[in-house]
Amino acid sequence: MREGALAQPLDMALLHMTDLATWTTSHLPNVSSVRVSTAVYHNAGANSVQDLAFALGTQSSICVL
Amino acid sequence: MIEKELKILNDFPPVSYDAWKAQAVADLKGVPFERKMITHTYEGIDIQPIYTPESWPSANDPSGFPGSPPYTRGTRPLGHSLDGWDVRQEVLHPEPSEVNRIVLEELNNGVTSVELKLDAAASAGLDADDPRSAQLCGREGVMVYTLGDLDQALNGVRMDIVPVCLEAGAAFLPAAALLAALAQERGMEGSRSWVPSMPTRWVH
Repeated sequence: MREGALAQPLDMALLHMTDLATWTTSHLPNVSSVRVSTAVYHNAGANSVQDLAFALGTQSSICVL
Repeated sequence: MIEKELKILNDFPPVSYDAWKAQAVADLKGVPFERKMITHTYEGIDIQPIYTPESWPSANDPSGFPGSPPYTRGTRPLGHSLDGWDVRQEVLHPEPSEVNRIVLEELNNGVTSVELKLDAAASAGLDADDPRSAQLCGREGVMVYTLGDLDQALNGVRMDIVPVCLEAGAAFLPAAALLAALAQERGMEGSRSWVPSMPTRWVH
């Protein structure tokens, strides 16, 4: 997601993500279906510590939902 | 004929940190060790010139060892020490044929994996002929909407040895389907391609 907004509700996106991860595990075992990118923070001037902090913060807010 | 087994380690007996530091201080000829040997990063972290097992005793460390539960330190015991760095260059050109030329050139010059950023239309989950795509086609990425487009962009790319990553923003499912279909068509189901899915980059 790179526009600052989602085209679908977050829970739907999360559902699609877990579906995809489940599918790749059995069909394409060497494929990673999830990654974390901090490019948007990096490009906005974040240093390495801030990059990691925002990545963990995002992960934490997603897991709570 | 070699009659004696070569044992390099015998020539280099283990040296304690204190012995090493004493030698380093002597070699610095009066320049303070702290000033010369410790790197201060932009983030305010001080990086020591050398680390030993004593720097971070791993016994009873709840994070465990790399490759062991709870996998906090990664799933592979050796981490990336065997593969080294993965050098990946994001490609943003709109034309699949030009993207292919760029990708092959980069792979021949040291890049080790490929990242294609799909254009704004594909990242919005739209087809090229959708009226809403009018202003989005070719913007900020490659115009890949069909299996044929992706096949063209990755023509000649050995998906069995070169990981391919598609950056498609929120429209990760169609992108994943394309990449899976291409892997299947090329008989590369065991390849290491990446289909980044979750919108882990959103900003509230």
